[in-house]
Amino acid sequence: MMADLQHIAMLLLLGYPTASEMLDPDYPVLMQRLGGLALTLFITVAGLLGGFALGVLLVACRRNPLIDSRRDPGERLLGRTMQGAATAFVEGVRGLPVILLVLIVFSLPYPLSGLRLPGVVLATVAFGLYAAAYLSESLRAGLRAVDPQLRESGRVLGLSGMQVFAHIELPIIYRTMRPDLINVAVTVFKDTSTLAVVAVPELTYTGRQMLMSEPHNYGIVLLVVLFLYWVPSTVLSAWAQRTEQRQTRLEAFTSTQIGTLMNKGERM
Amino acid sequence: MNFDRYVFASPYFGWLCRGVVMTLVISLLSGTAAACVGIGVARLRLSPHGYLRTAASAFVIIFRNLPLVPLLLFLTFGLPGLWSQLTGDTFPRGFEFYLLILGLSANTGAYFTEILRAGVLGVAPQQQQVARTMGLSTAAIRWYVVYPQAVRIVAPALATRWIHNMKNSALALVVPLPVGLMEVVGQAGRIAGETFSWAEPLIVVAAIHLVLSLGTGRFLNRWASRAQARVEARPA
Repeated sequence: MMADLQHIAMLLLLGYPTASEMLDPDYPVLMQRLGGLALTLFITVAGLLGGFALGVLLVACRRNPLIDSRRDPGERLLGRTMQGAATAFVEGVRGLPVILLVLIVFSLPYPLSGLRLPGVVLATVAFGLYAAAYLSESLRAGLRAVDPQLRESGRVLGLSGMQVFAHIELPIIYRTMRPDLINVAVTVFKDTSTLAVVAVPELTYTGRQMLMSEPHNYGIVLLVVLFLYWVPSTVLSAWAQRTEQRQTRLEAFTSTQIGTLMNKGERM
Repeated sequence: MNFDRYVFASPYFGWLCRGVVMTLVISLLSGTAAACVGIGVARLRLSPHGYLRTAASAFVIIFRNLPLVPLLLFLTFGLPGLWSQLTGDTFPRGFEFYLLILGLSANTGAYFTEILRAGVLGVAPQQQQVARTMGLSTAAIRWYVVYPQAVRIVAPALATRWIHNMKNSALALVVPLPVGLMEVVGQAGRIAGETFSWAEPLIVVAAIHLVLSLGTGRFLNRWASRAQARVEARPA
């Protein structure tokens, strides 16, 4: 019974001690860091937040105002370089398997700079980069959904530029991206399981080490791990699907309404 | 960074070439199996029998929401363990490769199912009635009228998923395969195990994977846009 409680605590909160932690004589018996599902969730959320910030930056680079034929050539070159770099980054990250991205982020900093960073930091960086590439794509789609005439109409009605953005454009962008946003969150959550190969004591690593250390638990531990991944992703994807359906209905409704209004206007 | 010593040297370069071949083999095998799974389960999802539809949607909902790494670990460590506990036998050596293909194709197959179902629903139902009137059998309607159009309608989504599947083949790293069957990331790990240097093989493998996925993407997108053009050109 006690052993079961300890296993559950490991899976949910503590994680399995990594090899270096086991070799450390001062390592506390009761682990003083997050692990297991809690660490998985922490890396997911931190990666998504960092990724969103970087994603906004990437979109800004890809749609920057310097790429304008009226600008002088120097500025235009700078704008094109920024755009090219951002596009190359997004395409590069999206073209790599996650596990390879994780391995690269974990194995390059040390030989390049001699810097030894903790695994959780590197994991957050890896999934920040990963989320940024995917989020910037959905952010771009969200921006494309905004009709440029809305800004003009808003300004005519006397709203300031900031007000137009906050009250008219932002809700449209948010509504358009929301299903995608949730789907990226689910993908990142599931893909953090690749961190098991670089010994970050998250859920999958914990499950695997528990299996290796106590072979009589064969299989069952990993089934529990799979279940712990499955429940949140299923709930979140169901939510994403529902918002997407609502969005489709809303768009169909709005376009018919606008169509009717326009027809009436023509007749008058 | 010493690429000449750690990558382009005698045994290592051969290992990577072997890895590239295995990456292609794994992604082709699992992608083809996933396509078969997708066609089969999509048909079940549209079946008139309620219990078949339930079973098919259960398959989709389960495998779309399971992460691949723990799934592959379960298939290759947990399952053989359970098996030997229950029966006293061990799994035959080298069986991991088939379990790897099974895991990858279950995941991609679940996505293919949803995509293909959407495609089949996108073909106007009147076409089936017309085909029936013209005397085509149910199987002929399916294979000559509905499926070709369904695939064209969802071609871009299928292309994206195929590339995802190719990238997922890198997860073979977590499966204990014999060295000859390791894909390219696994071979990079093998080089790192001998030379204690991860950086060089990883950079080369990243370049290989980029070429593979961008190249396949270019090829499949051309196919998808041609297919889409045919969808748009059809009479309403």
